[in-house]
Amino acid sequence: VYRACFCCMSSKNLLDSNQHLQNIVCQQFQAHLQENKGLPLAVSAIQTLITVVEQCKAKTFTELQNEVTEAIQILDSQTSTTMAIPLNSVCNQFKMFVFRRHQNTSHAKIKELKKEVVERGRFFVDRAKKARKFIAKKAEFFIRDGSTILSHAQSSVVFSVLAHAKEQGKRFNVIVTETQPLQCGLAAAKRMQAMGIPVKVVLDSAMAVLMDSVDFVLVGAEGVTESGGIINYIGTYQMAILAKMRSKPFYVVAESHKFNRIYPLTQNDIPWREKVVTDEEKGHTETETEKPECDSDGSLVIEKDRIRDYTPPEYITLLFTDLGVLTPSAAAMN
Amino acid sequence: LRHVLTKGRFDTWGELLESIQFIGEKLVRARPLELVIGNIVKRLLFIIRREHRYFMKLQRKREKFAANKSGSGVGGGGKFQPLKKHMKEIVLSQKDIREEDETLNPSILDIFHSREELNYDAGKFESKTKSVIINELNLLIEEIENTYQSIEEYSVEHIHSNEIVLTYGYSKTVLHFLKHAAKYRSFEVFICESAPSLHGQSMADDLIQHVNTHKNDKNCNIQSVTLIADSCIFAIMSRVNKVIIGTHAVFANGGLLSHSGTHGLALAAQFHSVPMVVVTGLYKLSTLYAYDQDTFNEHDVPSNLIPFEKQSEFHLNGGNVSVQNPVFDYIKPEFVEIFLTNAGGHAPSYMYRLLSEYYDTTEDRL
Repeated sequence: VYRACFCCMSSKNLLDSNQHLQNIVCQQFQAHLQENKGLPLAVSAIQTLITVVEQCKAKTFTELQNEVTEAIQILDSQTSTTMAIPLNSVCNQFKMFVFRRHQNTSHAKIKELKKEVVERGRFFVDRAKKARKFIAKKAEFFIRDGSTILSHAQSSVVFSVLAHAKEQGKRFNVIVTETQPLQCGLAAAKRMQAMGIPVKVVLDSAMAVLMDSVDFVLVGAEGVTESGGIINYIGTYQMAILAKMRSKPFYVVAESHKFNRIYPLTQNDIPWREKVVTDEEKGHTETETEKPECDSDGSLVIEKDRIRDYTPPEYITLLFTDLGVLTPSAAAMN
Repeated sequence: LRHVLTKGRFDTWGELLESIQFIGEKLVRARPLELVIGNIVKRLLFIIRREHRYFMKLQRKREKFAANKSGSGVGGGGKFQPLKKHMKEIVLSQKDIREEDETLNPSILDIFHSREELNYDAGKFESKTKSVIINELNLLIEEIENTYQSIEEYSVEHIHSNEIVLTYGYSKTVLHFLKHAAKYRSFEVFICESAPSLHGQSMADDLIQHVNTHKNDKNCNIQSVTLIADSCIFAIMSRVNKVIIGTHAVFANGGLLSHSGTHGLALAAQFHSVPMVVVTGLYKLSTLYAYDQDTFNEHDVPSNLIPFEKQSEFHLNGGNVSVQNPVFDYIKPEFVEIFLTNAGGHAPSYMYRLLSEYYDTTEDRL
């Protein structure tokens, strides 16, 4: 079970030698994030991890593995919750790859292993960059002229799918729910409008009413779980249930590096809370949560801290990934 | 396709693949709703690509071996002979083949494995490999010809004594299935007419003929054959134990493309919790997806519904009334209980797995 609250992953607990590692990781990650604007988060993460492996001075395999694990922990602690799940998936995949690689092949020298890891990491980065285009091509077939699409929250993959379809000359219109409290649906709608796609923004509560008039639902995912379900911004589960009730297809787009090892049994099994990131040096706590909203006389608190939900695989029709178009049971197998 | 393969001259693998794709595209465009055509072409392409991979692997192995050998013994001509002999003996071991097979279709585990950019033009296409491919193609043809035999073997397990079986329209697979089961089990058959084509009537005809020819030798134990109209399906569904149908095509998600009217049958079966069994050969499994009734559908001549003379009598043509005659129905995978194929019985959610065994899931084009 993924550990939800990482508060106070303080640098006090790390040794001095790892201070060096931490510095590398932080700097690299920030640098990569800057240059990779618009690309998936996984790309920056893997690039950082590659640099760690390159620069690590480990002499044994176990040391190398430990360094990688530590670097991942540092990355985890430095990022906010919005990035947490995709980051976690891709880092886990990288870690698994390093471990398995060592087991599967007989590398006499650690140098060989390092070289191979770096090479494959670069290949992965290449692939991740192309993933969105690949997915857009596959999904294009499902978007037909005259269709109405319902979407939720903001996802760059969904946007690239729709943009690609628009470029191919398909005529369709989109309805996006505004997705309170972060209003990312609104942001997504703005992007689509700039692209020339006719888009309408509606209240989250209007999902059920509008479900009859749309052709299908298209959402992105922060993570694809081992059960074949998805973790996405709150409200996705709601939309999935409604779609099932009205027999509308519910399509999910996700790149393969979002596949995770989480197997949630209930809604509480996923990290649905905002994470508190402490910044020791600055001496104050930067919270990502908004202060709990109270009503006019301060007696009632509106709980806004649940930001994610889990959509079980029964409600999903198909997943578009760069491994191909998958049914939820196929995604579960992966 | 076999003809093309045997007669054609190909210099590189790339050429071979291109010509097969070219022919395949033409065939598919001629009959776009016969999904089987596309399936077979893709199967062949998969076989070719797989052989190509084995070939490349073998080449690489040979090169490695040669590199090792030449490193150790820079002998003269005397050493040349045994070298060649050794080269011939380098065959792909079972382990190699399994390794290649695993990397054929990508899964999450391969996310870090580089799929070497398949350079089809690199390898020289030898005539030996041609015969290997033709062999594989012959195996495929054999498999398709033997579909009926392999499927009907499952019939005894799935039809029990004194059961009432409902089927729809005319399907050779179902016919063979029922005939084989009749040797060992005694049951009743209800056949839906499947208007407007009324193929169900020919199915009933064939079945009755079979019953009559075997009336005395106890090889056919079908108690009765009843033909019903499509509108009666829901009414008798509560008495039916099983629904057995064939299909025109199976999609990658486990959905079916069947003759029109089958969707109503599926809904009635679901309502009464009657299991629906689909018997089909695996060659009908397609890599495509359909998601509504119109994706793969065509409309037949309305005169099959109402003859033209009658249409003008009732002022049906050219007026405000249109006569529609769709040929196919798309049935969601949730309606199907089990697929009985020549590769065994499978749940609909498993069909995607079979895909990766027979087709390239990453190649978009034919």
